[in-house]
Order: sequence, then structure tokens, then C-alpha cells
Amino acid sequence: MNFKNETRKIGCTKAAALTIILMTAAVSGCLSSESEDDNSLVIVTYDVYALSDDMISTFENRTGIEVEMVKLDDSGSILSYLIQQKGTGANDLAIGLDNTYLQTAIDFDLLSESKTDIQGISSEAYSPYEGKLAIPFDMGHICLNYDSSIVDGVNLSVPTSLWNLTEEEWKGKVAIPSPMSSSPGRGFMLATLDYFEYTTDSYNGFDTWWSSMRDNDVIITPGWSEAYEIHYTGGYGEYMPGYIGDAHITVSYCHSPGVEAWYNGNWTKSASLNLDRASFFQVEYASVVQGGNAENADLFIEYLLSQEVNALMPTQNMMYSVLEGQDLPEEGGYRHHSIVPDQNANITSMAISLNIDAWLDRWNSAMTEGE
Amino acid sequence: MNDLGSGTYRLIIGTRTLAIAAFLLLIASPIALAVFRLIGVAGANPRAWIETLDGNYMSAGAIEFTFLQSIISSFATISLGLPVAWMLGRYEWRMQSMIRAVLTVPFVMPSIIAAMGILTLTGDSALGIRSNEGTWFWTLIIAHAWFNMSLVIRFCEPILATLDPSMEEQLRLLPAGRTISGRIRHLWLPVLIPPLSASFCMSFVFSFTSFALVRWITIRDNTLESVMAISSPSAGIEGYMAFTSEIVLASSLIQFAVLSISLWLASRIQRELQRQYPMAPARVARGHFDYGWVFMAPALLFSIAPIVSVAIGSVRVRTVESGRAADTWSLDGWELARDGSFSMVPLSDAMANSILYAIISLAISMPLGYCIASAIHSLERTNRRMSEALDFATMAPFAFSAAMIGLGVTLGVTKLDPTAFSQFWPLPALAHVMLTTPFAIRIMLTGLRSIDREYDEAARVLGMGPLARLTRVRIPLMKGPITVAAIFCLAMSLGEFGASFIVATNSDWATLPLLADSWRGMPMNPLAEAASNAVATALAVMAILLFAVAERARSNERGGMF
Amino acid sequence: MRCICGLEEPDRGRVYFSGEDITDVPPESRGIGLLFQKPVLYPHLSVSGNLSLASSHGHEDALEEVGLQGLGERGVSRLSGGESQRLALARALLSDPRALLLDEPFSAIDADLSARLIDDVRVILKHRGCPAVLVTHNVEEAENFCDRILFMDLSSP
Repeated sequence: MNFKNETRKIGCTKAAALTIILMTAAVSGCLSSESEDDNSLVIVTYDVYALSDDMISTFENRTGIEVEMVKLDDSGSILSYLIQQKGTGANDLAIGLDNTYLQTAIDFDLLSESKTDIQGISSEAYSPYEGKLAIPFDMGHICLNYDSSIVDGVNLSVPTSLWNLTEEEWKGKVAIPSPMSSSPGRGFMLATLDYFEYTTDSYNGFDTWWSSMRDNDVIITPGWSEAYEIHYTGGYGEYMPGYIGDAHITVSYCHSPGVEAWYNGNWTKSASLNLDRASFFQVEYASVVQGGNAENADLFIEYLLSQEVNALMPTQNMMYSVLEGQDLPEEGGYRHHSIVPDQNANITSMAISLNIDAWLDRWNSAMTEGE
Repeated sequence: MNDLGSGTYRLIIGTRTLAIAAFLLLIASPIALAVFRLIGVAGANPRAWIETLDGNYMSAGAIEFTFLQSIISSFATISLGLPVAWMLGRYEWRMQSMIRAVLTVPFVMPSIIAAMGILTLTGDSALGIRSNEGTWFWTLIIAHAWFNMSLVIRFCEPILATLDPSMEEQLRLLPAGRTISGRIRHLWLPVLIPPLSASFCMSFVFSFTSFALVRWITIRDNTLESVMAISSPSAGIEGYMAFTSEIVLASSLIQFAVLSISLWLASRIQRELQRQYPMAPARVARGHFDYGWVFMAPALLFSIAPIVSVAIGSVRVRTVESGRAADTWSLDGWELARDGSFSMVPLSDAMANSILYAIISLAISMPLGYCIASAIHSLERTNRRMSEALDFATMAPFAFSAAMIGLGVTLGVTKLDPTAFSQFWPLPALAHVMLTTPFAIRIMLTGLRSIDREYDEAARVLGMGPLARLTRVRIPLMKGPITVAAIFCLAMSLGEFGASFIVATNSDWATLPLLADSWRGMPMNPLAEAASNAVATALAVMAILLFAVAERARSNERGGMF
Repeated sequence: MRCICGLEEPDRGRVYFSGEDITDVPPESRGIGLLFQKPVLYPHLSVSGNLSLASSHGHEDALEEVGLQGLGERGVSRLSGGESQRLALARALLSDPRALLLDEPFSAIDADLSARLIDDVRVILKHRGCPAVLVTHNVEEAENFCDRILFMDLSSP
């Protein structure tokens, strides 16, 4: 009996040592075989639909660079991935950070300047950020969309102020994605900060409005798709499994009705609400990652911003092109059903980076306190 | 032992220790890394974490809701599953193995597909029962019961099918067993309580950690798992939305505590109450039940309907012309999925990836699972405590959330080699191994326990060494459990979503569930849903075929845990 | 008995075989055969498949020796109780043991049959010159089979 245990003990020590050796060997042996290579480009991104197989292989054929794409969940995941991998040099290019995350990425010193000199990017696209640490590649305005077949002035009147939505007729009929977990939701919350600072005398407009919305049974969803596909009556959600259709207004892009029309033979009942300062201008960026292969990254940025690729943003990626003189296509009523808000909310990337925690906290208090 | 055998013995014990160490390292290290990172951001104050969790609008009430829905779901699972298990076990059925395969398929469906299938089925175009605040809760409960029902069947049916008939016959002749209720009280309840409570615990665990079903079916509430999923993208970033780190930590902590307790209870109950009932040598033929199909047909329909609705969804495309929507039947969704477009890979690529990763994880988790199972098995005789601890530790992957494991794997791999996320293609298979190995262990452990010890002893006195006994006695005797474990590993790996989602980072590595999810997540495009359904259908067909094969392989075996 | 063949480790004391200390020798290397109370036959193998676990040749002779000639291809589940025990014996003998232990191998077989089997086994073992130890509760059985008998009475201290 004792002897048996002895054997086991010997086995244990040996095996433990062996485990460590084997694992280290396996990991270092297998993993580090391919690393720094002049001919490769590692792009960190999320499901950016413009980055199609065809588009990538055209780039690969022209430049001889081999592209590997690390695909993450969303803009926030890109930021946190870059932070975790900071200083490793494993990544070359980040595509998909937006202006709500950009400044944080800059503060963390994750990006390096692009050497490209791309002409023809619209001044609008540069408006949230003008430096070289991030080059805009697509953009859009986040605003309220409503179902024009119900919000027709008879059943429900078209809001002329966000305060209208706190009234009885809108009880339980507004769906908004959470600013905590959804990027359109966050954009809209940021817009409301600016909106109430301008339209309300008291500082508390923001808090009061969100509390009143809560009291008016606003539907807060984790993501954009739940709000738009499950609750919103104006969009394609009604054809999707799980549709409930209890909300007639939601947060999406100002050109979402255009996309609806484009897919539906120039028809949609969804419309965007043009309220001053109640919309948020979102820009998505391509950024050279610090420590990565800047040369190859710049080549890809140039390609991404070339006419042939960037002009396709509206149909490939459902966002605006950032190039001067490009607009949404007329085809299928895409442009006709899209609006450009007269006056976006004015929130800088810097302010977002500094205050986002405090603002989300404020939003949370407004939503939970005095319930 | 002595000089002659000690080399081989040391090798065996060494291999086992190595397997256990490797597996525990694979599980424990990512979790530890994730926890340290999050604590670095959120501070080490569990009380504050839970206060943040409870005070946040998105997560308030998540604790209560998680408990409530998982307890009700587990009861619903039992009450739906037990009658089916009874019918299946007590009567003869034509195509018995096919029936069992069909009833098991829900369990290996990726949950997003399950959610879509259930939603289609309960939506306005079909049953029309999920349309408002009053019904979604029960839709969720039914969805969980659908998902977990096969657990009850797998746990309970074998003992129902193979219990020596004389047990009941004898009881019938005794005063206490003359009535049905008497027989239930004195025989069936004691027989069924261990498998029932084990399946209750397991469906509790799965409902507790349910994410996709909750996300798509509930309206306002969140489970701890879905809270974590929505908080995790910004968790672990210093100075940016730090409260999300607290929420993830608080949810993980509660989830881990609750799930550990239930898993521990499950294995405890099984050990304590499991008595050796005399088993008939093979299935006991009990004749047909004339109206059996009246019960079985709805059960089969219940299992298959959500999948069928997904298949139908793959050929149904919505077209809207001037405000009039019409469904047209076409293969456009299949074609889109086949060719790949936007940022999605072609269906064939995803299929190849899925198969490749399934084979790799099979190749790792089968020997790994066997080593660990036989270690636990032999420790059962020499060191019971140790074997219980190991038994429990191998269940740990079920108790951790995907979000936590994902964060940890990212941190861990970054430490080892940051380029792995774009270069090291077997990475997703490692995540699969974490989840398939516990199943392989469970199934093979049951198999090992069912092998009479004398088989091994007789082989030893015939002069067979350890290796010869393994290859000529144990493995052939374990053919059934090994086949089932293998098919289960393949199917689990094929359907795995949560972990793959996090580690299959290189877009070329997309598997079928990931591809289905990507297509499902594409907004606006009417063909995207059809494409998603097409990918899911391909996956379901593969899973059904695998299970049919598995059932055939084990058809003349005694039932095990699965 | 299980200590003699090595399946159990003695709490104290040593096991000697022909003067050699075999306490630490694993059972598969001791060369001691064992017949279990209930014959242990592998259901996944045929009769000769079971024999092949002991040796790859000499199956026919071995079967003939125990009176099972011609049954090589039969599945073990189709053997009767007596046939099963005969096969287990054939298999044990085929591995050419230095000694054979019999753990009440005849108790599960009806009286007529076991009497014949006891005779047969005794003859075979004598013929081979293989020493054997039989454990039994049946005094008559012991008397018929054994040259020497040892009584173990646990009731006395």
C-alpha cells in the first residue's frame, strides 16, 4: 500500500514538471512559428460588412500583402482587445473604433499616426477628430426613427420635442437601446445631454427627461437589434421571428429608413425625426496600431478610402461614405428616405472620454432612483 | 509495485496526472487571469460589486429573475421529460434509436438557433402565443424545457428500460405494492430520484446560464449571464466604464457559487442515492403500447418543430413591394450562404472549419477524458475524497460563464503569444476541448463503473499487462460509451457557440454556429435571415446524422448517463 | 486467495511462491491462474477470442482438454453455466500457470454437473502436474478434489 503511494508521488512530481515543460514547448513551438512578417497585415475589426472576401482578396492580389482579420464583437471590444494586447506588436490596423471610443484609445496610447495623405475626405467626417491617429472611413447620424403609418398626426402626433415622448400617448411605445451596451444607444444618450442643456433652463433636464421616460414605461433593450427588430413597428422587424411590435419610435440611423426603402422596392413606413441636437454624429475610424506594421496598415487605409471601395459604403456597409461629393444612392429611394439632421448634438470625443463614466452613472441614477 | 511492472505503472500514473494537470490548467488559468484583471479595475470589494450590480438599471433584479426562471424551467423540464422517458423506456418502439436521436437533438442545437426556432414557432406566423408581456415568460420556460428535456430522458430512460422486471413483479404481489401509488412510492420513486435530481440540477445549471434564449425571448429582464454578456465588451478597461467590470465580477461570483453548489449537489445525490438495482441483461421487452404514439408523436413534434421551422425559414424569403409583404419560396438564402458575401465566409468554409475543429477536439478530449475518467475511477477505491474532488473539478467549466472564460483566454493567450489570435488556427478547438472533455469524462466514467471489476482481474491473472488490458479488454468492453462520448464530443463541438465566439477571432476560422449568428446579426438585408437559417439547417442535419449513428452504435449496450 | 494471486495487497505478511517472495510482483507477472466463482468471460469476444487472451494458439487442444471441442466460434453468451466454467478453465490452463487458484468455481453449477467437472478438472491438473488451491464450503467437494485439506474456522479466536 505504502509502496503504491510512493509510486504515485514520484509520478506526480515528474508529471507536474513534464506538464510545464510540454506545455511551454508546445505553446512556444506552435505559436511563435509565424510572427513578424513584412508581407502580412493583421486587422482588428468587428463585423464591418464592407470588408468582404472579394474586397480583401483584391487588396491582397494588388499588394502581395496577406491579410489576417481578427473579428471581434463591436467597437468596445476592439478597444479592450487593443488595450490587452498593447505593446505586443501583434496587430497592425484597427478598423471600427468610433468617436465614442476613439479618445480613450488615444489616451491609452494605442494608436500611431497614419502617414497617408488622403485627399477628398469631407470636412464633415473630420469634424469629431482632425488628427492623424485615426482616419474616418464611414459615418452616419444616430437619431429617432418612427413608424409614419401610426405616428401620422391622427393616432399619434409626430414629436416636436423630446418632452412629447414623456406624455401619456407615448406610454410604453418608445424603445431605446441601452447606452451601456449599445453604440447607437450610447450615441443617443450623449445627444440628449446636449439637447437638454440647450432646451432646458435647469441643469436637470437630462435627468428629469430620462426619469419621466422610465415612468412612461420606456422599453430599454440591451442592443439595437432587440429594439428595432422586436419592438419597433416601423421596420423589417415585423417579418422577423420574435417580433412584438409595441413601440412606434426607436433609435437607429437617420438613413435607416433609406436602407429599408432600398431593400423594399422604394417603400418604407419608417421615417427619421429631425430634431435639433437630438441626433448624434457617429464616425468610424481606421487606425494604425502602435507597434504594428504601419506601412502595410497605411496601404490598406489608402485602399479603404479609395473611390472604388469607399463609394460602396452605403450599399456594402449601410453607412455614408466619408469622401467628398459622395452621397447615398438615389436607387430604391435610399437617399430620398434618409435625412441629414439640421443640427447634431455637439459632444466632442475628448468630452466623451473624460465624462462617459459620470454620464452613464447619471443616466443610471435617473433610470433607477425614486422608482 | 515491483521492478517488472513499475515502469509501465509509473507511465500510466504519470500520464493520468499529466492529463489532470493539463485539464485543470486549461480551465483554471484563464479564470484566474480574468479575475485578476477585473479586480485590478474594479477593486477587491465583493460587496461593492454586488451593490453596483443591483443598482444598475440594466442588471437590477437579474439575480431574482435568474433564480426564478431557472427553478421554474427545471420543474417544467422534469414534467415534460419524465413522461417521455417513461414511454421510451417502458415500451417497445419502432425506430427506437432514431426516436432517441431526435429527442436529443435540441440539446446540441446552438442556442441562437433554438431561440430563433422557438420564436418562429410561437410567433404570429405560426402559433401566435408570444406576442405580449403576458406570454413571453412562459415562452422562455418552454424554450428552456425544450432545450433541456433530453437531459431528463438521457438520465432516466436507461434505468426505466433495464430495471429487472422481477423487481416490480415481486412488489405487485406484496401488500404494499398492490396499488399504483404504492408501487410508485416503494419502487419507482426511490429508483428515479437520483437520475431525476441529477437532471434537475443540470437543467437548473443550463437555464441559469442561458443567454441567447433569454436575450431574444425576454422583454425586460436579464439573467446574470446576459448581464455579463452585455457588460463584458467594456469590462477590464481601466478608467472606462469601470462599473461594467464590477457587474461582471458580481455576476460571476454569484453564478459560480450557485452553480458550484448545484453541481456538487448533483454529483453528491447521485453518489449517495445510487443503489445497485438488479438490471436485466438487455433491454426488457415490454410489448407495445397501443396508443403510445398519441404520447410520443407530440413529444417528437415538440423536439423537431423548432428545427423544422428553421429549415422552412431557410427557403422562405420576404419581399416587400409598395408596402405589401409576401413570402416567396426560393433558394436565395442558401445561395447567399453558399457563396459568402459581406464579411461572411462561404458555407463550405464554415463547414470545413466546424468539422476540423470537431475532429481536433475529439482527438484531444477523448484520450484526455479517458485518462481522467480512469484516474477518478481507480481513485474511487483508494482515495474517495480525492476522486470526489476531481469528479467535481472536471465539471467546473459548466460553472463559469462564457464571458469570463473569454476574457481569461484572451489575457492568457496574449501573455503566451499575442499573434495567436490571428495565426494559431487550432485555438478554437482548445475552447471546445474545455467543454467537451467534461462530457467525455462523465460518459466514460459511467462506462468504466459499469465494467465488472472481475473482467480486469481475470485479465491480470491471465498474465496481461496494463497496455494489453487497455486495448484488448477495456476498450472493447467500453465500445458503447466510447462511441457515445465520441459522437457527443463531435456534436458539442459542432454546436459550440459561446466560447468559439470569443476565441475564433480570425474571420477565416468561423464555424457553422458563428456563421449562422453573423448572418442573423446582419441588419436590414431580407436575405440575411434566410442565409442564417440555411447555415443552421446544415448544422442541424449534421447533428441528427451523428446522433443516429451514435444511437446505432450503442443500441445493444446498457444505458449510461447519456 | 486474492492476495496469493496479487489482486489484493496483504495488510501485513509476505507471499512466497516456491521460496520466492512475490509480494510485490503484479498479478499479471506472477503466473498464477484464478478461476472465479462465476466464470468471467468477455462478452465482446467469441469462445476462441476469449482463449486468445491467454495464448494465440493451441485453442483446439485446450477446448478438447475441457471437453468443449468445436465450440471455438460460439459466442460466450450462448454457453451454459458448466460450459462457461469449462471455458474459463481452458483459458486459465492455456496461459500455462505455475499454479491455479479455484475460488468456489463449482458452486454455481448443479450437483450432477459439478461432480463431473470436479473429476475432470482434477484429472487435467494431475495430468499437467499443476498445483492448485481450491476454496470451497462444500466438504464433500473438497474431499473429492483435494490431496490435502485445510480447515479455516473464523468462529474461534
